[in-house]
Amino acid sequence: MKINFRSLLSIIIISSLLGLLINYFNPKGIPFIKEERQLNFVDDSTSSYNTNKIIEKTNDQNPGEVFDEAKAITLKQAYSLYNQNVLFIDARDYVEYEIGHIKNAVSLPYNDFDEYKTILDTIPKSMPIVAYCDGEDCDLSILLGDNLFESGYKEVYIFFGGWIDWQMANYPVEAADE
Amino acid sequence: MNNFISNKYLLFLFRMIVGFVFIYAGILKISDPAGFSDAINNYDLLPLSIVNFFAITLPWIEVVAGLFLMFGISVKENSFIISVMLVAFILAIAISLGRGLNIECGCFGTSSGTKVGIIKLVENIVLLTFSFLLTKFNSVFLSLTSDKNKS
Repeated sequence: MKINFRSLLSIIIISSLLGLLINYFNPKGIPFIKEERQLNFVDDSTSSYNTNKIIEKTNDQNPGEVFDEAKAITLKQAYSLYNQNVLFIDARDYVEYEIGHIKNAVSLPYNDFDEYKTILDTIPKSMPIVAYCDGEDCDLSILLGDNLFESGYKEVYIFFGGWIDWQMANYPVEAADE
Repeated sequence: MNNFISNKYLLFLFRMIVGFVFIYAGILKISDPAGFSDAINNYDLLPLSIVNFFAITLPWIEVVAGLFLMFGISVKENSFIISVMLVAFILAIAISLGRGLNIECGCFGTSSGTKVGIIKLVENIVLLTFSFLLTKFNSVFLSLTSDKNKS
């Protein structure tokens, strides 16, 4: 018996239509076309962002601005946060972290999130966090940033320029065994 | 050898295994469409515009083909559909391994947290073998439809 391509096609089309129909009515359904994660940068030109405010908010029990998602920051903004001792989290694999990372950054590889997530137990949810990875070709910082925001961290920044920009600017770095 | 692998009980067993795995995998994906869409996207093989189309339709094709296979309905056609999907999965996993991507497989939804790796590749190759044999020899043992199509 040969394969009946008519019934084969019918099975594929009917199942696909069923999927599309159920997705349409499913409250957890997804849009037909996937939207690219748009990074919203923290606005630097207005007074809504400055380093002093970060410190105020960190110490404040009732922070004024509520983030609705993890926000992206530029190199300059990342450096000013670094100078305020804001916690940096390295989303790359541990091997890369070992070779070199932003000084005082903590390793939380996104690809092994479950294995390393206990590290978050020591970090209060109110603490601002900066997630970074290699640089613009790498989206681990975005994935980790979103993940941290969903885990309840209220002030998550994504430093998209990442390790490459940081090194080029000659900002403080260290290796794991230092 | 052909006699052994075309044994109706053995083919029935293959049908049950492949059918069950596909129903199970499909249901897990259906329960978390957004997670599965991200999992497909992480492979970085499909353009963003069609990722969700696959995330929405693929799990249903898996479930329907899996169910039909278990009930012995259009076994050749459904095992062929499953074989094509398995070839695509195998290629996707192999390419990701070759590119050194350490990403979640998404094979059984995203909650299991299984990464792409050699084991996943072997699992898929075993299923592909079963599925290919079903397409080749058909299996009508304990089938819902009559065995008039028996080859």
